[in-house]
Amino acid sequence: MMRHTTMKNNSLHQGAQKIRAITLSPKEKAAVLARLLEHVAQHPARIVSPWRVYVSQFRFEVAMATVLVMLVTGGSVASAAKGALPGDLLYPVKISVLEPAQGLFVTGDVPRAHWAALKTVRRLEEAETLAAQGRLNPSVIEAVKNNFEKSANEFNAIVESAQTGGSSEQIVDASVDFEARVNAHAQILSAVGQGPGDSQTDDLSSLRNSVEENAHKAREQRASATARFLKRGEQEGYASSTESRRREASQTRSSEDDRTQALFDDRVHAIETMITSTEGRLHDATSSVSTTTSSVQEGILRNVPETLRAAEDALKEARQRQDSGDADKAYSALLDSESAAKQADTSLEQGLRWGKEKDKEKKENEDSKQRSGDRQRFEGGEGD
Amino acid sequence: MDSTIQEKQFTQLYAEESDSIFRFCYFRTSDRDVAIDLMQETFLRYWEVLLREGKKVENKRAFLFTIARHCIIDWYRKKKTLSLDALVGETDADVEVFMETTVSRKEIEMEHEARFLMEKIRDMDPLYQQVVYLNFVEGLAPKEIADIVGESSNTISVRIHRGIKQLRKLAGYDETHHHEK
Repeated sequence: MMRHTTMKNNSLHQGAQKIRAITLSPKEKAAVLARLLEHVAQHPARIVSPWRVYVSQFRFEVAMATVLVMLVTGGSVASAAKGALPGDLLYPVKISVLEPAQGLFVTGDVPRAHWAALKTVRRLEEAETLAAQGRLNPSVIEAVKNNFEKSANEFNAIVESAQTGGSSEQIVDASVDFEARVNAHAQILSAVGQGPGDSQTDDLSSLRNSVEENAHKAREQRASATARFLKRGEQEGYASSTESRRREASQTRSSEDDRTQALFDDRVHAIETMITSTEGRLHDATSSVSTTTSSVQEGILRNVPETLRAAEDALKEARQRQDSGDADKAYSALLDSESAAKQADTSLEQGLRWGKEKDKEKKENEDSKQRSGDRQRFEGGEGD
Repeated sequence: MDSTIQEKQFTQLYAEESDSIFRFCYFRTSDRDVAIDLMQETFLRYWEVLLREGKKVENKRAFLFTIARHCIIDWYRKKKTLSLDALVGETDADVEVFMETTVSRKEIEMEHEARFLMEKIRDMDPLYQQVVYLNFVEGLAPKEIADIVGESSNTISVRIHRGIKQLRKLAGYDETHHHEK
C-alpha cells in the first residue's frame, strides 16, 4: 500500500511539473513583449510627487483628516498629547482629537477590531502607570473606566458584526489577542488591588470589576468566534471524521501530509518560542534583586509562571489532539495556548514597566527630599 | 532611477514571470487567448503602478500575481455585466467563487498528467482552488498567497491544508479510502 500511495503521490507532483511546463510559445512571448515595450516607450517612467499619489488615493474627507493629523502630529502639542495620561491637561486632546483622527484611516473589520483592542488596552496601561506613580484618584478612575468600556464595547460590536454569516480566522486571531491582553490586565489590576497601605487601591474596585467582567466576556467571545469559524468549515463540507483521520494518522505520511503537518508545527513552534522567550526574560528579571521594587510588582510577576504552565499544558493537549486526528479540538487547544502565552508576555511586560515607574517615583521622592534638605540647610545657615 | 534601467528590469521580470502569470490566467479563465491578453494587461498595470507611480514592492512575483488576480476579476465582471446584476456590490472573493461555476473551458494541448491535475484542482471547492494552485503548482508560500488574496497567513494555511486533502481525495489518492475498501 505504501508503495502504491507513493507512486500515486509522485503522479500528483508530476502533474504539477507538467502544468509548469505549459508556457507561451517564443513567438507569443516576443509579440506581447513588443507591445509592452511600445507602451513603455510611449509612457516612460517618471517621478511623481508623493502628494499627488496620496491625495488621489483617498476620499476628500480622509485627505482633510490627513492634513489635520499632519498639522496636529507635526506640532509639539501633539507630541506631548501622545504621552498624556488621564488627569493631564493634554489628555482630552489625545482621546478626542488624535485617536479619532487616526481611526479615520482604519478600514475593514479586522483592522478596526485591532484598533479598538489597542485603544482598550491603552486605557488600562494608562491606569496602571498612574497607579504605579501613585496618581490615581476617584475621578481619574471613573474617566478611565468609561473610556475603557467604550473601546471594549466598540471591539465587541465590530467582532459581533464581522461574524455575521460565519467567523473568519482573522477575527478569531483578533479575539485571542484581545482576550489575552484583557485577561493579563485583569490579573495586574487584581495585584494592584492587593498592594498594602495604598488608599488608591480601594478606589480601583469599580475599574477592576469592569475589567474582570470584560475579560470574562472576551473569553466567551473568543470561544464563540472559534466555534463559528469551525462550524463554517464543517458547513463547507471538509471536516473529516475523527475516525478516518485517526486511521490516516497511523499510516505513513505522504509529502502533502508532511506539508500540512508542517503548518501546524509552525504555529506550535511560534507559541513555544513565545513561551521560552517569556520564561527567559522572567528569569533574568527575577534573578536581578534590584528589579523587583514592590510587592505589587512581585504579585504581577508571580502570575507569569502559572500562566506559562497553562500555555504549555494547552500546547500539549493540542499536539495530542492533532496526533489523534481531531483537528478542530487541536485548533481550539492551540488558541488556548496562544492566548495564555500572550497573557504571560503582557503580564511580564507590564510587571517590568511597573518596576520602572516605581523606580522613577522613588528617585523623584529622593530628589525632592534632597532639595528640601538642601533648602533647610541653606535657610539654617543663613539664620546663623 | 534611470528610465533605461527601469525598462531593463521590467524586461527581465517579464522574461522570468510571463509564463507563470500566463499559466495562472489560463488556469482561472480556461481560455488561452484571454490568458495571453490578461498576462499582457498584468504587466501593463505593473508598469503603471510600480514604475510610473514610484511604488516599491519587495516581492515582485507576489505583486504580479495580485495584479493578475484583479485583472481576471475585472475581465469576468466585464464579461458578465448583463447577467451579473445580482453581483453588483459583491466582493472580489464572491465573484471568484461564482466565476468557477460559469466559465466555459477551452482546453489547450497539455500532457495527460497536467490535464488530470488541472481538472481535479478545478473540481475542488472554489475556496481552495486558487490557493492550492498557487502553492502546489507555482510554489508560492502561504504568506505570499495571503498577500495576493487579502487574507491572513493562518487562513491560507488552513485552506491549503484542507484543499490538498480534498485534492488527494478527488484524485483518488486518499489513503483512508483505499483502506476502507
